[in-house]
Amino acid sequence: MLWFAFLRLIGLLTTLLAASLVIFVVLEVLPGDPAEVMLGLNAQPDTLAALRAELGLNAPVTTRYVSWILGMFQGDFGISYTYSVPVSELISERIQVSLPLAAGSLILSTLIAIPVGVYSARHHGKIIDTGIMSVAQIGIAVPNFWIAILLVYVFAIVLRILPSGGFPGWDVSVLGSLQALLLPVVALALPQASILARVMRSALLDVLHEDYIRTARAKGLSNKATLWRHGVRNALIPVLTILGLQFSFLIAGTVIIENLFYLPGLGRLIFQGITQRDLIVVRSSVMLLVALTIFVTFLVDIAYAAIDPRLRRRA
Amino acid sequence: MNQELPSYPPPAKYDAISIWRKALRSRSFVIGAVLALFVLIAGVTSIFWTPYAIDVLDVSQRLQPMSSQYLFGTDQYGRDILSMLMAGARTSIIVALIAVGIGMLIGVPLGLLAAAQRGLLEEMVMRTNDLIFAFPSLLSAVLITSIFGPGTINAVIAIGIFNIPVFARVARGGALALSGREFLLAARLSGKSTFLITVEHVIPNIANLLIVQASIQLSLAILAEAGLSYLGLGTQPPMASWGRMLYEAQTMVAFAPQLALYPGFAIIFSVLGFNLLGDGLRDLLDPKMRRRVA
Repeated sequence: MLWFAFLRLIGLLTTLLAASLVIFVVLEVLPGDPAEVMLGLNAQPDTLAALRAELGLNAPVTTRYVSWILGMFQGDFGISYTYSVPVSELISERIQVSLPLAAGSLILSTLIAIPVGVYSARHHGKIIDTGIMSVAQIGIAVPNFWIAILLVYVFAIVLRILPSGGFPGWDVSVLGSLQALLLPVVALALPQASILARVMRSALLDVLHEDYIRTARAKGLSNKATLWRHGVRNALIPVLTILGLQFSFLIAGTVIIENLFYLPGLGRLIFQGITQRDLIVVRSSVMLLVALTIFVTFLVDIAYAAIDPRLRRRA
Repeated sequence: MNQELPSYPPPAKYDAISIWRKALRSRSFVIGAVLALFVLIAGVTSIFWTPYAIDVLDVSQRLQPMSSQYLFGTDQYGRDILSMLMAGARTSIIVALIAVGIGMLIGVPLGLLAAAQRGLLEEMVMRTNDLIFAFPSLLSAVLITSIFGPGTINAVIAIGIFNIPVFARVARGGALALSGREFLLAARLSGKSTFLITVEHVIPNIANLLIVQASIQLSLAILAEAGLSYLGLGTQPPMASWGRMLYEAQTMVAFAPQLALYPGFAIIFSVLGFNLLGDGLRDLLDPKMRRRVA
């Protein structure tokens, strides 16, 4: 197990390194002159030269890459060109919105999906099962930003009980902040829950055919106890894997949803950074999100191997 | 050496009629095929004909309700919604087909190469795969389109790149599952090269897997295109796109909520269609996989 974790850790570091190289190349080498990209076509030559000096662009590419990586290790993410504040400050501020948003929708989707999936599997083949799975099938096809627009229309415009966007900030109003996050969380969670419910159902149906389920019933365990203690618990393993895979979709979803609801989160920071051509903000915050995704995949791999020893050999 | 081989019965051929019967009994397949075909026909028709031109703004006709003249009404610029939806179908299908095509054309050979060569090459292909998977797809598509400019072509490339590792993975997995099977050994003994074996024996045997995956990837590509266009990074006006229509409808949602409904339904329609088609095809082509999802 330790050897497996060690090999995975090496893999994790290699992927991180490769990812940082890709980001650096895409943002700083491919566009030619980053200073020109940031200032636009009509920039004065002396402004360009000043920015080049400020960003250290006169140094060779390799030096710039190394100093970027070393800086990040020391918590120095550079200084935003448009906001004139350290990027690390921006990120830590924005993550207070993105983290509750992502965590909230992850929790909500799991809370919906597991009971629904279990219920559907227990009524396998009946009309109610077909009905639930049809709804889930449609749910997968629905774009989260469309749900968001409908939610805004119903709850913000017609009923006027929730804000249509914006974020007051946790220090200003906790309740207001929670209200501001409610619709975005639901919009992100519903398609997610549809996928999870399907996985939960099929995983449980697979598990219920296993011999140990019959054994549990034979030794006198009630139907319900068998279902939860032996069925659901084992079926959760594939659900966990899918949850891990969904993380990257969730991150991508926050970019759109944060824009739609004018939430000052990381996704919106990146999107604004891109439209304002603030490459300093973009490269570090993208790196952060990618690192997060890689790390979650790593954790899922490790958790999986801890649960199922057969997988360790595959390293 | 020249010993005569024992004669085996010819391999069971798929009976076209029985497959069709089975297909028509599969609810997923029928519904999916009908929906996908419907979107396809709408898109193809829009190349030759739409009820109204989509690039002509006529403010005097803005926000018309449903009528015999405008089946779904008009938007805030006076454009006919039905025409926009048809042209949007064309955009979605073209983007999805090319993006999935890119993924297959590059991903499948890479996956097959990895399976055939094993060793270092396989390791390199699979690690590159992991790397692409590590970039949240829409996030990188946003990056790509913003550095190289928004537009349909860059959106296609951005979505296509994320289809490469998917197909590489499926192709490699399928090929590895076949390795060691008697007919491959027989082909090897008859002196065929690895390349020839791959082309003649492996590809036909993993075609099922690839078709099912392609159908699922088409639906994901349609969603991705809608997302990018919604952010203003995909298809640009005057070309129509469902994502773009949703973006424009959002500003009007208080006055004309119906504008947000139609493009949403169109996206759900087509994504559902390709998803169901994929499910149905999987049931038909690979009975072992029947109950699995995702």
